[in-house]
Amino acid sequence: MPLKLDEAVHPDGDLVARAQQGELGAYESLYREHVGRVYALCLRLSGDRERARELTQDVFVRAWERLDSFAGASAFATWLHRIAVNVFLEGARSETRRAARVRFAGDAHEPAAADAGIPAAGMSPEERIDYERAVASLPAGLRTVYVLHDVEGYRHGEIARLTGTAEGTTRAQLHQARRKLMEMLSR
Amino acid sequence: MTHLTVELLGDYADGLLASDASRAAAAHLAACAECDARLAALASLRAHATAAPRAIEPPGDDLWPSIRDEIVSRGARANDATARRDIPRWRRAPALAVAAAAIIAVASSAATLLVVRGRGGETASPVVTGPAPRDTSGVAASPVRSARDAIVRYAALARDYDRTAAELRAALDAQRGTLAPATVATVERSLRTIDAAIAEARAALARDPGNQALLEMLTSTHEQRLDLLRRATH
Repeated sequence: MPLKLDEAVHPDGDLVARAQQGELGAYESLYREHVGRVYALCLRLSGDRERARELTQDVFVRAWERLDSFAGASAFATWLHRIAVNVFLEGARSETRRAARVRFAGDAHEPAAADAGIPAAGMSPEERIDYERAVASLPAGLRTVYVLHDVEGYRHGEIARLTGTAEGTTRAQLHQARRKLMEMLSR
Repeated sequence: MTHLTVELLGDYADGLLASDASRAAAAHLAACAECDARLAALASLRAHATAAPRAIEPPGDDLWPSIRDEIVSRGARANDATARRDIPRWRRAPALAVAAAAIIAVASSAATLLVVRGRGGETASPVVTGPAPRDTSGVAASPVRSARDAIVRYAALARDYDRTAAELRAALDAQRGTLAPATVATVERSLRTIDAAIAEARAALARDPGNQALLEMLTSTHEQRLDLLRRATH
């Protein structure tokens, strides 16, 4: 049976409709289908596995609460992706305010470890691990811009809007992030 | 030889340079091995980004049970919040409730004074008046039983309120010479108090648009304003 056009464009359509009616089972199916994508984004943005797990849970709880606002204009995955970016940025802003009040000497940040199970894709496992470690080691602001632009494909205008900064700032941050990554990967 | 900056190399690789600048950069890269090597490193970095896996399964325990539990518990708390909305907001906002009571008292007092108005010498002696301010909305003045009733009542009032209030105000201004100064002062003071309560109720309603009790109070205070003006002009 040929796939209907709307199902091709919105393969989650039936599950979303049932979830919007309050069916948790349908929402779990959506979760199973999209959690990997959401976790990958949260991991790269946060650079920390535990934080990525927390963010992933936050994303799916928020998406459930806002299901009624999903009208199908975009794919469910795209809509979920936007929620994930917003959840991360809101958390980052809160963390910035908290950190400004409480600073600990030697508060070392442990980047996402190599044993996070990040699979290689077209490169050797060592190259993949080095790259992911390097991204996780970037300062938070640079990492956000780099991941959104180079990994996720956002344009500078949208990144500037999401982060509340000027487009010139995001471009400068991207250049800085790339410079740091090239230095780390060339060692 | 001046080398290309990382920023310029990045903009060149991203296709963001104007055509002239892009041609100049290309010409430099053709002649500068160092910059060409840096462009290659940048391209390699971009390849890493492009090849990065889009999906990664979260390690450790399944996250779904905690997500499900949080969704269910928030749903339970939302039911509690619905029940709380049945409690009129002004019972939970004592200052507003006190203001509402004061408005009713002031309007009643002003109506009382007007019954004995006349030229000069009247004092604000209390006199028993007729019934409490009547409902002018055209909707039966029985207690409002639903949010829909409250909205219908307010809508009926809002249709003609501005015009009616303006006409009554003009009539009052035209009759000032026939009223005792004390009466005029009392009416004006009452109107200012009522206007302040209306402004406060509107602000509260703007913050809590679904609050039926606030809408009812706003409607009542508007009706009391009209009633005060009618009594003053008749």
